[in-house]
Amino acid sequence: MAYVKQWAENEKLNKTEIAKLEKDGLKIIDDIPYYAENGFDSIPKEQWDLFKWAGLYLQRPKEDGYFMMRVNVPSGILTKPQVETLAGIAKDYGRGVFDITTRQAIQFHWLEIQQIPDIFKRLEAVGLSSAGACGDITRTIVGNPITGLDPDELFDTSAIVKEVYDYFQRNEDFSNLPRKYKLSISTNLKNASNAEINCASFTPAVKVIDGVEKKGFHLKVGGGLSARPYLAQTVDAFIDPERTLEVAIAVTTIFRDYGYREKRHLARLKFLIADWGVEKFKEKLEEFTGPLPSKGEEPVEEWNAGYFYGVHDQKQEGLKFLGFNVPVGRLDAEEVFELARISGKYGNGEIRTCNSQNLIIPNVPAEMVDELLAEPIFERVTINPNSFMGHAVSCTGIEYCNLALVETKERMRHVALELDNRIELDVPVRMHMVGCPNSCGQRQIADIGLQGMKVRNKEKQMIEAYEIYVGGTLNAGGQFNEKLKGKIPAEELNDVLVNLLQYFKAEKNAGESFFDFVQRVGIDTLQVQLDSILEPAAS
Amino acid sequence: MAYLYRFDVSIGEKNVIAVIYADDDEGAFQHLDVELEKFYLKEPDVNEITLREKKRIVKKSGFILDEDEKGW
Ligand code: SF4
Repeated sequence: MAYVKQWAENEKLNKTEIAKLEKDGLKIIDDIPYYAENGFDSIPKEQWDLFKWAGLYLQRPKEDGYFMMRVNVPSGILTKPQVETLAGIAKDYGRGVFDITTRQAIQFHWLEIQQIPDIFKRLEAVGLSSAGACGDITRTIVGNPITGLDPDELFDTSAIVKEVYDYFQRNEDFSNLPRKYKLSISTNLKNASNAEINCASFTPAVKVIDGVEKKGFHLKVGGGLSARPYLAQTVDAFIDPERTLEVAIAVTTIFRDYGYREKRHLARLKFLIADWGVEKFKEKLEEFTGPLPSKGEEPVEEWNAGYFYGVHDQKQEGLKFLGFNVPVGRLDAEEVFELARISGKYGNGEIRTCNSQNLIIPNVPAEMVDELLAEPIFERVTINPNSFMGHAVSCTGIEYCNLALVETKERMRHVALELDNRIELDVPVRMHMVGCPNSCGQRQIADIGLQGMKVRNKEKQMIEAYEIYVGGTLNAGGQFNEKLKGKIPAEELNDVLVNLLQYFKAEKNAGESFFDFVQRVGIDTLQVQLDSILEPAAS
Repeated sequence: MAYLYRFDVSIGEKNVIAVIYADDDEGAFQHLDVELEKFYLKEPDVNEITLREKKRIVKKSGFILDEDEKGW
């Protein structure tokens, strides 16, 4: 169905918008066979950006012609043939690198243009796609990774996610959005899909209508992190599950037709919502959907940040799902083949990916759990990681990002290792490390965020240093963490964090989370504490 | 590839923000020294220099320097 691009006449459109009017991003998919045939040099520079719509980014330096590819994994659900296909692509073309992203997708590196047609063919054969995984389009849909198995979800959302994903996949009515667009659909009561940091999220809700309790969704809109973070706000509406697609189309149409296209840095849905407010947004929404019932109750429990470590009961009697830690979200292709084999042998072959960059093997009969856990791969990909290692996140950092001021992935790993050796707590503490203010590693929602910088002291010695942010969460609507003053030299980071966490351990109540602790004692108390920890080092 | 760098410079009792154009981090620190020498009549008593952020220089690039809203 064609639609009118109402913005086409706007004289102030930014350059990207003008390019998108000339050629729809998805059209690049038709050109790829030609470029593959004729080599990287046959791709005009002006076309490089459009490759995003095919899920492909040029790695830096772009001139070298290596691509990163992201593959959509709606709700994080992968079948055995899909897992094997992905492992095969990583092995044959991607130097064995297999990354799980913070939106449950899979990423490859080091791909070359002549390999892409075969990769597309392999993906298509198992019902996977990289189309729309990047670019100004509906990205992969984040969902409850244990949907259908989850004893705590309000209802199974797998069919709904599939319906919405299939509708937007390669849909040229929605392939020219003002900017990237992230949807999440989940009724996991622990907010496993991080609703507040997506552009639009369908979250669990119940409402009594005509004396009958209905299960459905609330709608949160306008979230997103990056350098200008916003938390999504709840629209005053209750959505019948059968109307999810209709509402998703309406929200996306509003973004497409009313979202800002003059300034690229103000184009995400969050800026429209910040201007309009959710009341005006609801009025506009109802122009598409007709009147919607007002919102109901949110039967939510404490946020789990997408972590599912351990062996858990499924809805289905006698079956278990097992949550494993994937250190910094990276697997080797051979490990992925092995996981597929194991999941096929003990479960039904499925693997589920989490936005915590970890994975789940579902549908394992209770009596087979011990045998499964004895497989050697689970020494590295463990079911009960040490607490800090199991909750450590870092941005890509210096390896693939040239804006990084400091090392992140390796340092985060070392910090977590050291903390696990030196301190034991009764609650997990989630740490996120980023290498610059762009905060790709979701620094703002961490219990403890660490942001890197380079410092040269009076003696002209150059060191890497970090600032500490405390008290971020997506619990109960969410709150961003706050900065403590003081730069921590990289080599003192372990000691300073151990000291700070020892203070937390000594002063906390039993079972009290780090977030609750920060709320209770206040940021000023923590600042005094940090000052006293830093003092001996300064003198 | 060149970058635009944003620094915090602690000089005596005050803090100054400096923006430097350079090819790499090392070069940015070095050139910051030159700019500091050129700017101040007397060689400034620099306590500490912090590199906070770098941006790729494409056709346009820049930083906003707001005392209260530093965005970090
Ligand atoms: S946070 Fe900064 S350093 Fe880390 S990946 Fe993003 S841009 Fe690069």
